[in-house]
Amino acid sequence: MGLALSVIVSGIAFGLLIGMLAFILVFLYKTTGVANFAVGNIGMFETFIVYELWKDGMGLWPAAGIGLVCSAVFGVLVYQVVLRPFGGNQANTLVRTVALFLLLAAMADVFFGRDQPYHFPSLLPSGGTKVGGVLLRWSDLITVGIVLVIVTGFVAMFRYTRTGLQFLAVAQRPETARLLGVRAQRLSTIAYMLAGCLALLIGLLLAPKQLLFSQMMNPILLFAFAAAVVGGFTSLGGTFVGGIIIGVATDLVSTYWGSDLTLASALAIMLLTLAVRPNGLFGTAQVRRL
Amino acid sequence: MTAVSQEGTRREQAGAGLSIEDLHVRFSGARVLDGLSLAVAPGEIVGLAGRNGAGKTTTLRAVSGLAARSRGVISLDGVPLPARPEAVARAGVAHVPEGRGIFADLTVEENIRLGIVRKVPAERTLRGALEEAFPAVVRLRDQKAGRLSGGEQQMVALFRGLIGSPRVLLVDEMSLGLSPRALRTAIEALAALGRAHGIGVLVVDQNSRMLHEHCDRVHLLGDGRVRLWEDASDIASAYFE
Repeated sequence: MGLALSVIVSGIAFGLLIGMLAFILVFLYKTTGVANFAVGNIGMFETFIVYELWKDGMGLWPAAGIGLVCSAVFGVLVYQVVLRPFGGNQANTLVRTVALFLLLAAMADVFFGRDQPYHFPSLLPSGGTKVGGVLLRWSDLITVGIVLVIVTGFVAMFRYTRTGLQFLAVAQRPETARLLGVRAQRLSTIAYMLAGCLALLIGLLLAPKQLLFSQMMNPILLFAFAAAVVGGFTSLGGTFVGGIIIGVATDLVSTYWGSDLTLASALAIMLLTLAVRPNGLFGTAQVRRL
Repeated sequence: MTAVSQEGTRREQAGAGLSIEDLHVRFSGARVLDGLSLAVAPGEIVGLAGRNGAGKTTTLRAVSGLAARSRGVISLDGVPLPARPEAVARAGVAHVPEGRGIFADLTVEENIRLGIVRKVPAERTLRGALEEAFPAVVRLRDQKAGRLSGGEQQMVALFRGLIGSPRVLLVDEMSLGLSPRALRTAIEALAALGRAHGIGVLVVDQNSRMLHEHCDRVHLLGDGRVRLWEDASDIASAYFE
């Protein structure tokens, strides 16, 4: 029982990371019209940059700080250089994001990949505490805290700032938002800037757990996709619920039945959810009222 | 006569308000608008009628920059309007789009706040006057806009369109979802606010009788152009000629 509870707690922490990546996917999808799966590899690439800085003798926190600035710039560049200038339809843009995904993985191999995978130092303290026989790792608890702070920040932005309100408007009705003077491209730039930073954060929290290598984001990206679908691809809050469901379930499956089944279990949950609720748990059907 | 002297004043300040000249719009080769010219002076309420598919919505979309124009000049107070919708909005053109464009997941108040497009001092927004004209909207302020009836949503859309004191307000399908009485209240309020604050209003609707009753002028759109529709009773020839 103690083991199961410990697994559930670490599953929640992992699930919140999945949820955060799913949140980025849905956030970008809603504000820019394209679910950019390259964000996973953007996070991976940035984590490599932090790693290189750290290896060259810089402290981990300063390196992470520089990485965060780079991530913001990188996010803006991805939007301004790769996505915005060519316009085109959604399929066209989707192909470009896939190209970016592959390009980043290849570049990471070329620039950083000589001896991968690498052990990545943790920003968070090791060890943990026991509460009623359940082991709680500090890193898990702090991860939960970090994600809660970020979610609170986003909720506050959506609710209390004009930019946040404009994000919601663009997400619901891009055309009407433009009629109301919302500069959609500026919002997309901000969205990519935020996405770049969050992707780095995911990389920094994930790399100590599972090594740093160019393909490190692939499994969690699939989990995040499943989580986004479970939550209903259009619900921002649903992504975290989906993430926790996927995180806990896959952690339990890999602990008790072996890690070969983790990916399959995530996809099974996704398919089951779609069978019961075609729009996910929190998604809304596209209904137009006249 | 007052009408004549008003007309004279308007002529004097030619160029003020919205002016559309020789507007051409094509959709995949087909001519939708073919040399349309129309003007809306400050404080004037102008109706645009026409059968389904005549291009009424396209006319408004072309002004707002949502439909690309292949030829023609659209200007506001003598200055050509930009091509991008968000820039047009910032230049002072508000547009209540087809289907109202209400953000269903946002509250009524949030919908309205989005209407304050340009930074205007609080006293220059029309909030006070609008709250008087549309008391129902004030009552529903904290509701999710998606839960409102069609008529209530139309009021919110008009409220949102006017709150930022635009120079021109475009309304697509004014009567959509409104009961006859609510429609009368709404369009009377619109006309009064427009006159009081010098806002030109261009109303598109199928209901030509309503337009004739409340608008300073009514134009009929057909074959991609407009002509002045003076005789309100002449519906048959207007639509079926």
